[in-house]
Amino acid sequence: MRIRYAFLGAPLLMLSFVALAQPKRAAKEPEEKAAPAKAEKAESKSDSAPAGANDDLGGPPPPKAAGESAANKASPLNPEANEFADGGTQPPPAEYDKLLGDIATLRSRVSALTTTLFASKVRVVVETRGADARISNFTVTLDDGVVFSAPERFSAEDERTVYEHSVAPGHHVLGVDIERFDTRNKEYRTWQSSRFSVVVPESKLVDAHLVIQDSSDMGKDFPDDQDGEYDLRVRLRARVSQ
Amino acid sequence: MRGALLVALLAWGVPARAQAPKAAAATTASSTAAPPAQESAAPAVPEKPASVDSTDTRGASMRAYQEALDKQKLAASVPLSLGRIRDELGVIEEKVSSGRRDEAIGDLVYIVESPRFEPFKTSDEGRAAIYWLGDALGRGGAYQPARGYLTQLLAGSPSDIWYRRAVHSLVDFGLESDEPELMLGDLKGVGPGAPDEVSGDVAYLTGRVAEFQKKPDEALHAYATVSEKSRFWAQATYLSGVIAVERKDFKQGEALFCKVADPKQTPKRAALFGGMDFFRVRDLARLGLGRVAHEQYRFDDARYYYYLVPHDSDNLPEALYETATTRYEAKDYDGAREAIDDLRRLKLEHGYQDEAYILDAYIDLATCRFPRADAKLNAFLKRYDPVRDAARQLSTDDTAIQKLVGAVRSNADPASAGLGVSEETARSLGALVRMDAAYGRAARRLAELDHQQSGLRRAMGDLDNASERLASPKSLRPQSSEALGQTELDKVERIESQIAELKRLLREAERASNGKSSTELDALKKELEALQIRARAARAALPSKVGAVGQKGEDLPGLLAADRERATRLYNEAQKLRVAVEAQELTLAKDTLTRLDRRLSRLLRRARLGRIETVLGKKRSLEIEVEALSQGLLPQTIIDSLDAARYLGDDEEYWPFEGEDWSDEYVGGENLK
Repeated sequence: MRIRYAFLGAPLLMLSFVALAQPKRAAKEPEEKAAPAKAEKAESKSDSAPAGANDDLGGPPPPKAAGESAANKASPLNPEANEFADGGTQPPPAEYDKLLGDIATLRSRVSALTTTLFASKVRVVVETRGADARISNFTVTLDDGVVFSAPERFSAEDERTVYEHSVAPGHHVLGVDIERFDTRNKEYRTWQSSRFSVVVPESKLVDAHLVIQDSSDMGKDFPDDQDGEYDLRVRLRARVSQ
Repeated sequence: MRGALLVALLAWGVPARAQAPKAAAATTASSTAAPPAQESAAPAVPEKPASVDSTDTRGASMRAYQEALDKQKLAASVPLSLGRIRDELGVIEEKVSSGRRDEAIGDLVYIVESPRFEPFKTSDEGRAAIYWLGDALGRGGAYQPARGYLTQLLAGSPSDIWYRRAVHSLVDFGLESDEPELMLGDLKGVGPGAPDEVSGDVAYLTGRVAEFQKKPDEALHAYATVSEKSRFWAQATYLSGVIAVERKDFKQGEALFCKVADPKQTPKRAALFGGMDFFRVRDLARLGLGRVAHEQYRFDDARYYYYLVPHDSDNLPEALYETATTRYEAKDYDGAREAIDDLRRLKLEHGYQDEAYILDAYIDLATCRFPRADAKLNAFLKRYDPVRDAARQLSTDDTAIQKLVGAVRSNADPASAGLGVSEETARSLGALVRMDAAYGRAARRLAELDHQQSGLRRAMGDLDNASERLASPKSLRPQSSEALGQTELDKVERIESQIAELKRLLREAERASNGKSSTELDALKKELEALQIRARAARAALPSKVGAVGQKGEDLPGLLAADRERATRLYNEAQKLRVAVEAQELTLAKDTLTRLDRRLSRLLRRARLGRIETVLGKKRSLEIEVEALSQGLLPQTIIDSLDAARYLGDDEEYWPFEGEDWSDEYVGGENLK
């Protein structure tokens, strides 16, 4: 008999507990009492000075908005409007488009001019090796400027020409900046910058073949036994091909 | 408030492609499709500085070079032919597709701005060359000359392929650019005779410009004319739905979302023309439908719509989280628990992980599992309190902000960005930061400017070499007097990276001191500030590459001298402009962290409030238990307390003893002698 009462009583007990945590009936429940009320105040304060608020449980509750009822009260878990981007745009500085257009056309003009004036050429061919390494950033520079920036997910397992253009005969500095990460563990990243001095003879094409090799095992070995090795190589073979 | 949030959420989910095709990969979500919740009534359009518009291709300077080269008998003497242009275009297209855009532009300018090109200008090959030049310039951010070349193609027949591709490119640039109205002005000539896909593209851009100018009626009108043959049909229909929802016309909004979301209502050709973006927009339309239903308290409908988001969608975590929220509000706590469990099983880092954590605990709270809820809320506080503090701390360090945001944008591990916070905190920060499209555009502007500046440095060197070559034709380029990697710029960059490292070390020291003030740390901070001032001064004092400028004139050396001087001026102007562009990018990055701080602060407050509720809940349950005992009712915890099966976990099984023990069982060894 007593057991039967218990079976009847258990769902009643459960129902009474459930009521405590329902968001829309919060107005009638302990949430409206002192401590939660303080939190509500803290939320309203946070609108004005969110970053500077040190006390997360503030003072008394704000007055209730007219017409607010348990039925239409928003869930306390809803985000606040000021947590979203304001959707506005920051217009670029007025001269931005003109300047970019001027620079791009001047560069294209100079590039076309050097094609006419110089018979010497440099061709940069890249080959990457290392199954577990991925390139996140790769640029090739010639003297002072970048001549190639790798697009996303760049890979050159087969040879890939990244630059071929006329240059003044004589000394040039070919540079490679490369950032790689281990596919087995992205935490292990490397950044390498190499500069090579090359001499381009008059009216000749210099083929600069870059082999970028990564045989590192840091991403695999170090997390296991705290012992790993980075093995990075950038090799350049330059030869006059024509 | 609820409606405003719905609008903000819908707008937040507008596909990046709908705004800027290139920004799609860079941004996780975009936000410019609609004004924010609170500002929708009085939108603030940022005051635009008067821009200097021009569609000049600057081709006159190249033609002047051609004339000067011709006078010196240095110009190309091989005649141009259609066959040669065709061959060159094959190589150029390959260069463009492999990312060698700058080289392609140089090659194209060499062909297009040559006097020999004039007879081939209207041929198919000639128009192709003009198109590729305009397109390549535009993709590199040089919109003014790009428009100059592409608008030349709009004088032809609308059925011509290069006409259509030019419109396509101009629309892309318009969607990408901060001044789409300029491209729209160029496209005014696209008349009713144009094919559906072309006029659809222009109509979509018209709608976007109208939305940008806060003219929703005009936007709706334009979107309505986007044909199903346009690649933007889904985007236009979805955005029309967003406008309808903004106006509280939920029925219309739902009907428009359904057109995209429901394959039966979608025009047959829309998916074919829309490409991959179509399916991204379809997922967003399904989320939109769910949000509209949720807004109207149609919780079961909302659950159905969220369920339609496929498992391979990027929006799946969003759909599962919102399903859980909907079920929670519908008081279906089992349903909410199921959705949260599904979300956890994905094992993905997603932008809702903090909110899902809190909701998970609140579901336990709602089902009276007070100890479990308390443990979860406590764990949340332990995990996210340092993340919020780190967000506040980092928001005062420009370099750290750039590193964090850069790592998130490039999908790198934030723990390896050297932020000076613990690895777990750095990863949480990276997962929770929500970047908007405005930041993506600002970052792209800075990257474009850096790229052009770097190329300009090379061009300045080339101009110096060319001048020397003309002065002494047998001369060779000498070896640089500077050691490799020891230019002034290299040195300043090294100083800046050292300062960034110092800041990281200081942050780590602060973390280790647990907030206790230290005179040594304060002294180090002051020293660091002084170093920063000196580094800024060093960057400002970087010498511009001033070459020996010769006499300007109409001849080749004169033109080279004029261009060398122009290059120096442009470089200096770019240096100044870079400061402004970088400041814009930084402001938006800081805003991202500030918004994260606000969100985490709200959730932390909610977690503390939840913990109070768990205590109150436990107290209330005890009261009820005592009351029940006084009435002779046994509480749930005592019922069948001796039944072993009650204490088994979900993955355990209990086999009760069923009396099969044999009394005469042989156990071995008895009666043996």
